[in-house]
Amino acid sequence: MSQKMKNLREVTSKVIEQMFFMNEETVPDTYDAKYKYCAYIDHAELKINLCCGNDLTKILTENFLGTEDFDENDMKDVLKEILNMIAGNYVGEYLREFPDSIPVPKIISFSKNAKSNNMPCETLFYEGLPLCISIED
Amino acid sequence: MSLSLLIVDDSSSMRKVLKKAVNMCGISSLHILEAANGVEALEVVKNEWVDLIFTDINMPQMDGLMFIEKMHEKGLLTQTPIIIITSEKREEELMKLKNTRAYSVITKPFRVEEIKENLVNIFGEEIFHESEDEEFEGSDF
Repeated sequence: MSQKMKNLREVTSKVIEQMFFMNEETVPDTYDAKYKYCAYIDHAELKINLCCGNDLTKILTENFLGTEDFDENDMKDVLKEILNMIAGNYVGEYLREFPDSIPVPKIISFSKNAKSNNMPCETLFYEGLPLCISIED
Repeated sequence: MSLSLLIVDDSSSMRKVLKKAVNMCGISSLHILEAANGVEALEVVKNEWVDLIFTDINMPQMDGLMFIEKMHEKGLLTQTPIIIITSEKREEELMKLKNTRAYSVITKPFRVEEIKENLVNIFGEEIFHESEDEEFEGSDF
């Protein structure tokens, strides 16, 4: 794992623990590494992706908003918010010379579950479900 | 005393979380207005009295800094405190934000206690109901 990826993993874990009250788990015996949503930042000096399946996105959204009353737009918005916080913490910690303000994440959703992207992906697990993070080296 | 608050953020989930955080502080009478960017927020402050503004910085159409500047230029709610909520962590950038008209800067993730602390500093203890503290002890957002 590259140093950049290690740093990103550390920051992601911290944000999800602090804001979403979930601790990273060990790799389950079996899991389906397919994703429904990918939030991404595509800046010349910072490219990060964060991909999640539907079930984990629902759990994260419920934990964040503190209610079961939300829709798909809320779920997408929460993933963007997670990536925004990850980027802010990553830049503050490891990329202080970053020339711009923290870029606003964008999101895509897939009609069928998909593999995340072609960048090397690090998978974290929450409630047995995978969350994929990647950063361009 | 009834308080009117304006939350400016392009993220609807963040607006919901901030509303929840403010509600958890236990203000006895509260009216919360929302705007998704600086343009919408300017429209609100042209037409409504607001006691406190929470604003994000990175937003489409008009960002938080431009919104603060425009309010100042137009002489709108010049005495209303503004709290910036940001994911920015770099000291230099935070200093720049503190040097705007902002009353304070809160970085994400934040704790409900930080919101309450700011509310107490601005409005005093009398705006709260009694014994709300236990409800949000340890809550991060």
